[in-house]
Amino acid sequence: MKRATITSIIILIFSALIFAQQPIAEKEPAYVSAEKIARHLAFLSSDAMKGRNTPSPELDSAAVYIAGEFAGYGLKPAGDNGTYFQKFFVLHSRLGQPNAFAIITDSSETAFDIKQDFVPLHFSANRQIVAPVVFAGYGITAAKYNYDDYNGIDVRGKIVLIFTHEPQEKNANSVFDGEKLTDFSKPVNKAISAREHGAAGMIVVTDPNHRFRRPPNPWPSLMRISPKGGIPLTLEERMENKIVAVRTGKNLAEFLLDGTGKTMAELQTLIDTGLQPHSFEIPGKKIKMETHLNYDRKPTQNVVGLLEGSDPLLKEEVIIIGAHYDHLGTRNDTIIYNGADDNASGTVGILTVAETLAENNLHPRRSILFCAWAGEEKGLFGSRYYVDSAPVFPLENTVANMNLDMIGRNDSGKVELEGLYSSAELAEIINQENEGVGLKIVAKKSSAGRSDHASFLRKGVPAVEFFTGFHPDYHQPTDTAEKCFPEGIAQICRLVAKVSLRLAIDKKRPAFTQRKEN
Amino acid sequence: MNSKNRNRYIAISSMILLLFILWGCASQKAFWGSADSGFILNYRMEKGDILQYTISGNVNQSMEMMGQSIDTKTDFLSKYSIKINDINQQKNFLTTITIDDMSIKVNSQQGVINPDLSSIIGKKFGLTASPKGKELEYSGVDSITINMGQMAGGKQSVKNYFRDVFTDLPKKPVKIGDTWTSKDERTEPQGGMQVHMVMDAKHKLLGYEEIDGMACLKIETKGKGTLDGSGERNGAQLSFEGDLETKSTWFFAYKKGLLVKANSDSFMEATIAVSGPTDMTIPMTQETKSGLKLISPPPKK
Ligand SMILES: [Zn+2]
Ligand SMILES: [Zn+2]
Repeated sequence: MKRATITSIIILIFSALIFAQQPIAEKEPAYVSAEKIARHLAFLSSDAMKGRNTPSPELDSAAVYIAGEFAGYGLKPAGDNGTYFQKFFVLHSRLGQPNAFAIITDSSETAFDIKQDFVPLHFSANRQIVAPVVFAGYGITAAKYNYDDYNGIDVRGKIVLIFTHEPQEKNANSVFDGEKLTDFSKPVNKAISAREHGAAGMIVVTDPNHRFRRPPNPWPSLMRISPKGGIPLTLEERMENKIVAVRTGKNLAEFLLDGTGKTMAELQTLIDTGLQPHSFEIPGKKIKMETHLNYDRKPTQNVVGLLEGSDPLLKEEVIIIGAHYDHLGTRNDTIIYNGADDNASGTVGILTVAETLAENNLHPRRSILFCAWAGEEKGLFGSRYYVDSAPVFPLENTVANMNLDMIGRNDSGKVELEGLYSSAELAEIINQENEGVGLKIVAKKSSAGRSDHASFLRKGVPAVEFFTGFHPDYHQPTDTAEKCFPEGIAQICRLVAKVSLRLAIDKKRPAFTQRKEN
Repeated sequence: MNSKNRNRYIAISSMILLLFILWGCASQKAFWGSADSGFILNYRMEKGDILQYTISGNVNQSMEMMGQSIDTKTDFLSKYSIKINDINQQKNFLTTITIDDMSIKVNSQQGVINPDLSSIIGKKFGLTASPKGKELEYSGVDSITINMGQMAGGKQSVKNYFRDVFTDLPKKPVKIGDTWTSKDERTEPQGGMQVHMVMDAKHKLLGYEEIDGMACLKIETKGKGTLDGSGERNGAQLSFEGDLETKSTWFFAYKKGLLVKANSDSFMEATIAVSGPTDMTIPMTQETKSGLKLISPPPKK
């Protein structure tokens, strides 16, 4: 009997292992009802939510609602300090006083005009500096591209004069990811790099490839007819030890280069053709510059819940199911942009997929992270913050992102997908799993919008957006719940759940394909 | 989705595009002032004359947001005929304009907008103009609209494309080498905004040139101006300001009293502030190149 018992235990272990090899997706889970979907949708897009603006108390209430649901399904909190909330800050910035810029030589001091000649960048430090200037190409140090504008120059305590964007920007074969701009081109990353090299200040001038002659003005207060609003809302950049940073026009830059025997266009051509730095200190000139900005800093948050993988190794890899839960808020506090399709529908989508996967004891091998993003409407803030500053799992362990944005108008069994080009294997899995769901899948027609999946694509993670099409209510107060189709949302959620499980089970991860254009 | 940003850019960009197709053409419009005794420039068409023109050109627009450039290129082409129905007691020309052909193609990173203009081809409207090229009265033009599609600002009046059929001619006689200045100021509705334009121009009569067998005067116009506007669009409050530079070269058949050819370049740098339900400030530049040509002169008498 003893032997028999051991044998049966062994058999049990084996069968368990065999069972574990079976595609779990073949087991048809119990799905969330359309009635429940309709209830979530009605709540999130109700007038009480006041359009879920970022940041707003109503968005915070929506976050609490989502976190409550996550907790109910037994998802693990994956946010800050054991909560479901991943907090970040947004800034309303205004131009303060004073802001000044002058070029100093032994015999003269030439002052320049704000707006006409220079504008402070939104992350500039509030102080005055006086220092010599070093032309530092594009201001990029990129070991992965074997490129360093700071090679052979000493910028400590000095001000760097740099171009916008990146080398070979208009070249499809550029090592800097073809014609697509890489993260190195971002002004804030250039400022961080300048600071790391010891610079005290940064002057960014439009590279000669582009037409701006003056510094593009982001400050409404500098406009001739002062607009009612338009105060830029930005994602707070994680920067310690800010430096003084301004954007200048071409005149000012040429004035600085005058006497060096070089023009901006020549320098750009030299750098772009050889991919070698042509940095040098500009002799005989110093710059005195001063910026002052006032910030109104407000917290907001992503909501993140984790369904932990069952495999001790694979659980370190993650599939991210995301949707932005913010929308446009109100107009003058009276007209409410309910945002039922955009994007209460996608938010309900992640709740529905989370409940389906968590409550059917499906035990996916890889982990699945459910993310409700804030600030998408302001410029993908939530997903940008996640990928740039606070990924729960390392991005190299992130298998794929599925983004649900506007999935509420599926009344004919059709869904548009954006991002399929990012992974042929992911596209294949979606098509296979769709056999049991029966949606008509079409490539998204209007690629006008890039939603939060773009943040993942930017980092080389396969990512696909699910979308049911534009309509006249898009970004209008008329985007309301009764125009959405809960059954249609349920159908899309079935597909997303099946694909999530496949991604969580399959040994092989879908490979990422870089898109050439865009 | 954040096509909000992108789509709104497209919407705004198209609006500004249309705005500037207009002002681009407007820069062709002479700001011609005066000089001493020289050529007296007047339109001298006769009753029954039919003039056919083409205008073609392109607009390159670039906007910047979060360090990224959003570029749009628009090509436009139109062909139209001016029929002189009558000349009234004040010597003004009573004309009918027929839109013989028209196309607009907007290329952006987001795709191509190619509005179907077939419904407006063949449409006619009335225009009364003075011998000095002042456009005095339009009739029946407001009902002719171009639908740019939901994402690109919806319906636009075709009037914007035919606002400068005639060119303002200098009131006083002008001689070769003469320069003169002029100022033009107008406020017009554009894309949901009231746009105020002030333009200062400097003109120079450069010399003679024969174009298609017609003796023409060659005139250069350089203008500097400002544009300011505010208004509402799709529930957003918009403020707009731009600085504009233009350069045009004109050929006027002074004996026949006809505009024969014009080439114009303009460059604008602008800021658009958008507020509620989303706040943003969008810097932009726009370069416009356009050319006008008389392709079918009136029958010789
Ligand atoms: Zn959305
Ligand atoms: Zn949206």
